[in-house]
Amino acid sequence: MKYNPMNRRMFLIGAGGSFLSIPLLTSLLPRSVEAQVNSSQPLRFIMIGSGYSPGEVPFFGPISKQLQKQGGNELINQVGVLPLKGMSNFSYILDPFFAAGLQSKISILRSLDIMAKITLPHPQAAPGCASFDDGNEGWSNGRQESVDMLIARSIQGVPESTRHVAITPQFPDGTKTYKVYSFKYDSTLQKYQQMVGINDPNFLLAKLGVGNSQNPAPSPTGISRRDILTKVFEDYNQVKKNSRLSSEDKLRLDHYMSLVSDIQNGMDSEPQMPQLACAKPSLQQEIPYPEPPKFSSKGTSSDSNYLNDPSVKAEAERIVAEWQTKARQAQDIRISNHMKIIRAALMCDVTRVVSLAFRYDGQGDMDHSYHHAGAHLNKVDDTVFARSFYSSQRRIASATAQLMKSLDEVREGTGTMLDNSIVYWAQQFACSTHADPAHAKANMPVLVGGTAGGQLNAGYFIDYRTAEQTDNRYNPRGVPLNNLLVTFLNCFGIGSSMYENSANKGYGNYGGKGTKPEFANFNTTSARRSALPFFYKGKTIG
Amino acid sequence: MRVYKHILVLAIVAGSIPLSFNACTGGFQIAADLASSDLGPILGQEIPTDLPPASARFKFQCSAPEQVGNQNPGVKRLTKSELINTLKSVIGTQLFADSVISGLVNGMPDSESNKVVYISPTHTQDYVVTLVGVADRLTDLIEKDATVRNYFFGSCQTYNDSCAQSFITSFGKKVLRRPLSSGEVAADFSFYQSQGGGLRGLTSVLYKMIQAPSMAFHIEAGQGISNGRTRLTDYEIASRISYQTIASPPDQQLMAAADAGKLQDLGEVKAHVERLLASNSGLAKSRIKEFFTYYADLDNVSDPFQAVGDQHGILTFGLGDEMADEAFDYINHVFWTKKGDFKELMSSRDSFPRSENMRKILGANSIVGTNGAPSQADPYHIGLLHRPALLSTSQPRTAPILRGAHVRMHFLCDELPAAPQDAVNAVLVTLKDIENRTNRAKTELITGGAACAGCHQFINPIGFAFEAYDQMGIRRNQEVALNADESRVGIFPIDTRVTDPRLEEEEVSGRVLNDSIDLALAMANGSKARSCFAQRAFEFIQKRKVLPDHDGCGLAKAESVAHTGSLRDVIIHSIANESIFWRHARN
Repeated sequence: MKYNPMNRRMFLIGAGGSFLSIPLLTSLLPRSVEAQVNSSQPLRFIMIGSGYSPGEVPFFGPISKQLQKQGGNELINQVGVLPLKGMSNFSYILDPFFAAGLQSKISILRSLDIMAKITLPHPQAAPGCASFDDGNEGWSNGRQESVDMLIARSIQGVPESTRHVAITPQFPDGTKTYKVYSFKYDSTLQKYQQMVGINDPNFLLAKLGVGNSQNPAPSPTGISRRDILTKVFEDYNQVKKNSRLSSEDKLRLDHYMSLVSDIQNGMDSEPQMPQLACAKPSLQQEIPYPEPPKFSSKGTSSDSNYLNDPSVKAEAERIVAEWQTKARQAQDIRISNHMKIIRAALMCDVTRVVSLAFRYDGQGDMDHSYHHAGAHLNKVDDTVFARSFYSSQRRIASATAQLMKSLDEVREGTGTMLDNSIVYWAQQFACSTHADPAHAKANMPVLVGGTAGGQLNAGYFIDYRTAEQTDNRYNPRGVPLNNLLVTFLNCFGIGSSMYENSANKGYGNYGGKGTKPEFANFNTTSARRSALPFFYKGKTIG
Repeated sequence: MRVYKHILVLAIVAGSIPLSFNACTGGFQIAADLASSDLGPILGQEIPTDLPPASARFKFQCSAPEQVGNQNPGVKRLTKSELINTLKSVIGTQLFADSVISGLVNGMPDSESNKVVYISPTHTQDYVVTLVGVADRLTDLIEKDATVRNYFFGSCQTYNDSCAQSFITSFGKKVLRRPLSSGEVAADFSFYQSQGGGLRGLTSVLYKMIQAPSMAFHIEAGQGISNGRTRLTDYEIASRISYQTIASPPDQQLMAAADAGKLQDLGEVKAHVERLLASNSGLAKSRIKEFFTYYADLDNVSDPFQAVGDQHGILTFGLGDEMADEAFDYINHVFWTKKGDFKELMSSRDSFPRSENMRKILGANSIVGTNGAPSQADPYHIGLLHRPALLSTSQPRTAPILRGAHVRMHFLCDELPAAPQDAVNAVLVTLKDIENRTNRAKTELITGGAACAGCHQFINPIGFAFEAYDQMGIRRNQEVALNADESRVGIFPIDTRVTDPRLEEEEVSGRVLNDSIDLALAMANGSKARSCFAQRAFEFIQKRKVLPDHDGCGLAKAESVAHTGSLRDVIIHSIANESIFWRHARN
């Protein structure tokens, strides 16, 4: 007997009675959502979030730029634009995109502000949901899923089990959990949960099953996974027949069976889109992550105050630098392998939404200390901390650029796979300034690759501030980051009727709107529902 | 004299709910005249307690014994660590070490490490992927490797029907953690035959069993209903004993006890829990480490701010991990070696610096030697609360609010609502730059308003008492305040004396503590922190929040033992109580 996947749908929409209570999920909406997207090719959404945040200058380059004025919309009446064409470099962090020749494929967006309230001690944005606070169970909006989840729910034709994948390409460190900037509604806990990422490339391959249909796993014993899973369902049904189990108990079993069903459906399903050269990627052999050095373990007291001895201090720094080099080699291989798997998974059309987080929790080097050291935030100077911190940022940029480049090499329709994608890179906090050194919320550093099938303008630096910066407190402010996320939702045909809730117009948290007078401009419903002018050139959805 | 009896009320609505107080009913007072500058002599002494009678001190009462266990579910999912141990038991540790299998299982994203009471009751897709992947790999290995075939089907070299019956019975018992019924054996044998029998049939059965419901869930069908509760079978009790104690399937002795029908007796249950914990095995140690990670929030100790390290000639790189290691060494020593009680946990001067840096931070007399014996910390680093792992911060200044809230939430089990952000923002805007003053003065300015004081009267005194420890947990007699850019704000005097710390449910007003040493000793000798320890143990074992109206009987004994017995005894009684025999009987 084959498990009926419709049961899962009924389960989700409330057959569970009081045990489940979920908000509107776009996956339960008509399939017409997909049809609203004006593209014959599948659209993909790759959201990359990195830990901490840079100063403005290392990311955006020199503050003063000669911008062309372009018309705006109800959100903002004018936009400053600078074509990237012909530029060979831009900023310390973003230069890898220019070196990769991606000038016409990327957009650099400036003056997108986090609208959440200041929530001590860690006011954050989280790229996918416009407001975030890790001191209070994460998602401070608390009413909507992150945009990547909403987008994934709107997609049809890809197995549910792999449609969205969360990745943290780093090495496990003790008991830490590695989370991505994605929030999914947990119907059993009835709360929004931050998703945990996969960090093991072998697990990622196993989950996605990339290339399995082309290179099926050898099964010389000739066992039939389909027969076995059918038998597994029978076993579960047998357990469920026990009259002493409660409806709550049975729902847990039902939920698990629905997950098994997703796997089974994944085995059955034929890709709805013609697959490109779908094959299992060839991964580089990983090297073990080195143990961090421990200092002063000699058991003597002679090294007390050793940092005051220049030669001892230099030796300590040399040891750290050597470890860091080895650690980064190991990390880079892992990151590269994850990127290869992502590309292969997109080509095989087993996934279309990827949420990838770099260093959410930090990992054993000095970046966290530097993140709090405001003295050098706006320049890439020669201090050990600055070299460590900004080279991390640049490595993430390089990895992202390489992913974009590899997607751009795949021809798809009249363009490339990158053209039919959104690759969105943002950070844990907005740009640091001297006035707001560590947990800033004004001016999120954002870079977007691809055009979502021609719906986005690429090849520009776009500044959404209405006036020049007047002081280092970032005043006047820009426009809400929320509108960038609305832009992405619109690209996938998702309008306000599908992401809004009755208590809050627009997407995300606007709790900080009262703290600065200029935010009043964004307090109208039409402005909140607006896509970013100039950047978005798709159909107005509202 | 006024006496507070305070109850923190958890009611987070719109982010801001004040704390409420009950009327005064009596209490106790500790000596308040202990000079912090002369701590040495007091460390061996009892702080006078004059505790109220047990009935007033204990938080949990067993008022409805007939309801014990009626909140336990009948189906509960396996956690990641339970899956790992279960797979090791089912397929053997050698096969588990296969790089693909261990990679899949260990690589499965783990969402539950520090969220013990917020674990979703349902699995994620990744769990299914793992079990299917493990079964795929086993299929592969069975085909290619004779030793693997021999491991699973050793008695079935000819793969005939009777051998298949034998495999189904023995392997099935491992997977289900109980004997298969004749009907289950028949169904699996029928499946074996439907797959053509022989090696293909056997492998198909093995594959299916790896996906069995009992690989994903603890399923407790039970054996009968009484007082609205379902009584568990001996095998289900054996599983509860083992998973709750060591997160692993029942061993041979437990299964033998279940076979013999001995596990309906609480004495027998307690003996097995004691045996599993006494074994001092890797599993038991790992389980206890998980508990203390939850209890003390030790899973993410950051490296301290380097500019503070510079003041002491200490490179802070990697120091957070060292501090966490020292804390776990300390906990292991108190729990396993000393078989210590709660008072020892909160007051011992034993310490485990394994580097010169840690020795300096702890003010210890030496680094831990090769024999692993502890060294003695200075008199200011006593007990769990004064481990550098709990005192240090990556911030440029110490944070009394965070320290106070941490102690109150983790070690006193009070629940604090989120700060009302509008009020916080308004205060910050009004106060402007308040950095150039002591931490204490700054904190009092920020939290002195009516909207804040309701909570902060509970938080601030605890935080202020710890102000004699810098950002690395080193004892200090003045505050060197830094900016985020490592520049110096100033040097300020320290005042750790606090009044009305409200450490107990009933507390005499005007109670004074000189510093955090007083505070730790008061908690060590008091009631509330002990009750909290028992509560945290119960939460960890049950993987859910305590429901006071229902869990009183399950918790009462453990709470009582927290006042009289060892930490190990608290864990034992948190598992071995009447609740272990029951689950709900809801439909």
